[in-house]
Amino acid sequence: MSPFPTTARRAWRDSDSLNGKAEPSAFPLSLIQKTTGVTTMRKSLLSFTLMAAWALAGAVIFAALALTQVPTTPTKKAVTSKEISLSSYSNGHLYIQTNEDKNAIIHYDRSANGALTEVERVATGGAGSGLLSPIYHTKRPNHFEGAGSVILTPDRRFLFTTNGGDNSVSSFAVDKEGRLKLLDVKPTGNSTNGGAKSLAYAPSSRTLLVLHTFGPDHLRLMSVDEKGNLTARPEQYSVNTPDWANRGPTMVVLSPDEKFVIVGSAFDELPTRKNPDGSLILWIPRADGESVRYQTAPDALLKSLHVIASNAPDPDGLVVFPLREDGSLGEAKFQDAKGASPFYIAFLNGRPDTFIIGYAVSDGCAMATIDVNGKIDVGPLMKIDTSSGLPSELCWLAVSPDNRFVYATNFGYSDLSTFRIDGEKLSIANDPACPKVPGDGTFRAIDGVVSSGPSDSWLSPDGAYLYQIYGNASKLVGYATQPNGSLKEITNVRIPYNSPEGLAGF
Amino acid sequence: MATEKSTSKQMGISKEMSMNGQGGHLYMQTNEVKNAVIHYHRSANGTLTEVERVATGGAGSGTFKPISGQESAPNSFEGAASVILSPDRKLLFATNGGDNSVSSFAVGDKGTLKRIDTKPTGNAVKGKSGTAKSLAYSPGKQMLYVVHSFGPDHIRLMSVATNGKLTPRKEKYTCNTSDKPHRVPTMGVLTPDEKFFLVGTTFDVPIAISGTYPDGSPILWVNGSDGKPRSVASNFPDPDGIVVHRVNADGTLGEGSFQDGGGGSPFYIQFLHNRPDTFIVGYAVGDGVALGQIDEDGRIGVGKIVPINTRRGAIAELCWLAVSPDDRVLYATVFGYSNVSTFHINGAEVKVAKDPACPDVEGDGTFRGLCGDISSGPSDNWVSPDGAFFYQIYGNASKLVGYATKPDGSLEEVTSVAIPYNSPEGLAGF
Repeated sequence: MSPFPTTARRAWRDSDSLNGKAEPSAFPLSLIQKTTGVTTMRKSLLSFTLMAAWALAGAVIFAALALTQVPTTPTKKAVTSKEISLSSYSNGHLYIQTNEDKNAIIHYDRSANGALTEVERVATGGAGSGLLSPIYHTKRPNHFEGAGSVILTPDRRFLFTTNGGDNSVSSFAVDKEGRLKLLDVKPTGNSTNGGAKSLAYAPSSRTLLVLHTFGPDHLRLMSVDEKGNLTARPEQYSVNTPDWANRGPTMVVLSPDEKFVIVGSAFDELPTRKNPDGSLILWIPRADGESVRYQTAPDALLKSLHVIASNAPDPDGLVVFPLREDGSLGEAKFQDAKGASPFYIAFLNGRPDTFIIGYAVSDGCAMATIDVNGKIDVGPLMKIDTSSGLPSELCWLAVSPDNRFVYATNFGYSDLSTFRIDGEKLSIANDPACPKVPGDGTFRAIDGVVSSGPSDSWLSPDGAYLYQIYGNASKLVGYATQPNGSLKEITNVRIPYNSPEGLAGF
Repeated sequence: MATEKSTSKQMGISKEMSMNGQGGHLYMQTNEVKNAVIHYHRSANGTLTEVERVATGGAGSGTFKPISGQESAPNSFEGAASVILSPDRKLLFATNGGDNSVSSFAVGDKGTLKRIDTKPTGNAVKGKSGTAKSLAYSPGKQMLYVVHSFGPDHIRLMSVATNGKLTPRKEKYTCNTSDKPHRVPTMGVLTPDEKFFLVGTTFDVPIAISGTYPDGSPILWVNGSDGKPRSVASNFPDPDGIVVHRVNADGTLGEGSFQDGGGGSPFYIQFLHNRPDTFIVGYAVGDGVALGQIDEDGRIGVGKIVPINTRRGAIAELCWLAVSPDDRVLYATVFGYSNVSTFHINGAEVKVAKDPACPDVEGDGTFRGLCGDISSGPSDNWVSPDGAFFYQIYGNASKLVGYATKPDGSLEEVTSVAIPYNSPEGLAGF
C-alpha cells in the first residue's frame, strides 16, 4: 500500500461518503488533508471551486454510467481488461515495477469497474533483481522481503521507484493522464549489490528515504528538487543492533505528521542458511557460532538458539527515528512490536497516531499508537487461522478509506485475510477473504506450503477495489471489496514471473 | 457398497439396511494407562458397535508420546501393528507400550476376547513409558516378534504356546548402526513365506533426542559427527532404512542387513496378498509409496516413489498402508494431512487414485504434524477382508471412522465411533 493512498479524487469521494457510503470523519478536514497528503486541496479557494466543479461533473457522469452498468461496488461478473465499453471510463491509474533486470514501471488504467488496461511500460533506467532473489538466491516471489517500493508524492506530480538490482532510485513525472516520464535515476549510495526496496517521501523537506535489504546502512536519503531530480545524501542509518549485524528490515514509513520515521523488520538474521533439502534454517545460535550438536542438543544449547525472525522475543522489531526539519534522522529507538516479524506498518486514515502492524511470523495484526515522543504502544495481537502451517507470512496491509477494514496478504497461504477495525479493536472479518490463487507449483513458503507468493497490495482511494500481486502466478488480480470484508475477483492481468513488486496509484 | 452415513447408535436401523459386506469384528487398543482392547462388531453395512472392552493387564502410554516427549499427542510410538490376530483367528496379541509388555487373548466364536496372558518383553522401561509397539507372529515357529521404539534392543522375541501363553526369550536385536545409536524402527513384518523379518524405520534421531526449538517446533536437522547437517529422518539419504533379518529354523533372527528403503523414513511395509515377494513401502518423509521386492536371499529392491500432492506442506507423514484383497487398491494414511490417499496397483505400476480419498477429519486443533499443519493425527488403519470397508483411527479427533470403499479409490464415510483421546492405536479384525 502506498503511504500516500489518497488524493484530490479521494477528497470528492469523501464527500460522496458523507452521503451515505461511510461515516463522516470526526477529524477536522485540515487534519485529514494533512494526514492523507491531499495538499492540493489546501491551495486556494479557486482550486477548490474548480475541483468541486470537476467533481460534480464527474459525479454526474458517474451516476449516469451507474444507471447503465458501471458498478461502483463489486460486480459479480469477472471483468477482463478487454471488456471496455462503459467500463472504459477511467477511474484512475495503477503502477507496478517489474523488477526485471531492465526494470520498468507498468502503468495501468483503472476503469470504473475495476478492470485494468496496460497503458505503457516505462523503463526506470535502473536494474531490478530479475530472476533471483538476492536474499534467498533462488527463483521466487518477494525478492527483497519488502514493501512500498513504488510510491507517489501526495500531489501526484512524481512517482518514485527503487531499482533493487543496482541500488538506485528513479523518479518520474506523472501527467494528468497518469502517464509517466522518466526524470532521473540516481544511486542510493550503497554498494551496487542491490537490495533497495522501500521508499517514503517527506514533502516538507523534499526528502526521499530509501530502505535497503542489506545493511549496515539500511536507510539512505535523497533530496528531491522541484523538478523531481534526485540527489543522494551522505547520511546513512542502520537498523542493526550490537547482537545482530545482519538484520532484515522490511519497509520505511513516515508518521502522517512527518515527525517520525518507522522501520519494520522481518529478520534478526537474513534467511540465507539452508538445510540440505533446501528448507530454511530458522533457528541459529546467538553468538557462539555453534549449531545444534548431533544427538546431544542439551537444554542449555537449545536455549541459546534464537529464531531468525525479529522481535521474537527481543523487543526491538520496530525502529523509530525522529525526522528533523532538514530531512535527516535523529537517533534510532528500537522498540517492542509485541510480535514476531513486524513486517508492515499501515497508518489509519484520519488517525495520525494510530497504525496497524502486520506480523509475518506472529500471523496476525495488531493496532498500535505512537505518541509525541515517538514511543510506540502496541495492542493485542489478532491472529488468523494457521491450521495450514506456520508461519503464515502475513505481511502486506491495506486499510480501507473509512478505516473499517484491513486487508492482509498472506504470503504463505496464497490468499488474503480481512480484519475489521472497530475503534481500538481489531477482529477477524474474513479468513480467508478470497480463494487461493495457485502459482506454478515451484515455490514453497517458509511454512512449507506451495504458494503463489502474494506480495504488495493496493486499495483504490474509494475503497471499492483491491489489487494484489501474485508473483509466482504471474498475475496482478483485482478484487471488488464486499461489505463484509470479503473479496470477489473481478479482473486479472498477466505480469512478469516472480519479480514484480510495489503498487501505487490513484 | 454402503452409501448412507450412519453411526453406531443407529444400529437398529443399520441392521435393516442393505447388506453390503460380510460383517465381522474389529479390535483396537486404547493405549490408555490401564490398557484395554475394544472389540467392535462390524455390521454388514460397515457400522461399528462396541461389544466389549477387555483389559490387557498391561499399561499403555496414555496420551504421552515417548517419541517426542509431548504430554499429549496422537501416534505415541511412531509405530504400526500393535494389535494383531493369528492367521487362524484364535489368538489376538496386543502390545502394552507403557510397560513394555505383551498381552495375548483367546478369540471366541463370536469374536469375544478372553485374556490369556500378559508378559514383559524383557526391555526395561526408562522414563515415563516403555515403547513396545509392533507385533508380527509366525504360526509356523509359534514366535512373536515385538518391536520397540527405543533401543538398543529394538526387537525382542516371545514364544507362544498352543494355549496362547507367552514366554519372553533372551534374544535381542537392534536397528541401530555404529554411527546411529538412537534409531527408531516403526514396525516389523514377516514375509509371507516367513523366511525373512523386515523392519521399517522412521528416525535416525528421534525428536525426543534432537529436541524442539524454543517455540516447540521439532528439530529436524542436526549436525552429524562430520559437522554437516543431517536429517533426523532415516534413509535420508543413507541407504539403510529397512533392516532385513533372516528367520532361522527356530524362529530366532539372523544378523540384520541394513538396506536401502528407497526414500526418507520407510515407515510401513505392506506385502501384497497374492504376490509373496512383493511389498509396498509407505514413506513418512518421502511423501509417497513405492513397490518393493525381496529375493530369496533377502535382498530388497525398491522402485521409484510415487508421491502424493504435498502442496500443503512437506513432510506429509504418509505412514500406514492397507491393501485391498485383490491387490488393486492401496490405502495410505497421511498423518500430517488428516486424511487418506489411495493408489491403484497394476502389476509393477502404482498410480495415485485419489489424493485425498476422503475429506480431512478435523481434530481438536491442538496438534500439528511435522509439516506444521494442524492435524487430527490419523494412524493405524484396516481394510475389511471383503474390501468393502476401510477403518481409520483419528486419535486427535477421538474418532474411529469407517468408510465404504469406492471403485475409483475414494472413500465415503459410513460410520464413526468415539474413542479415547490421542492414545488409541492398532487395528485388527476379520
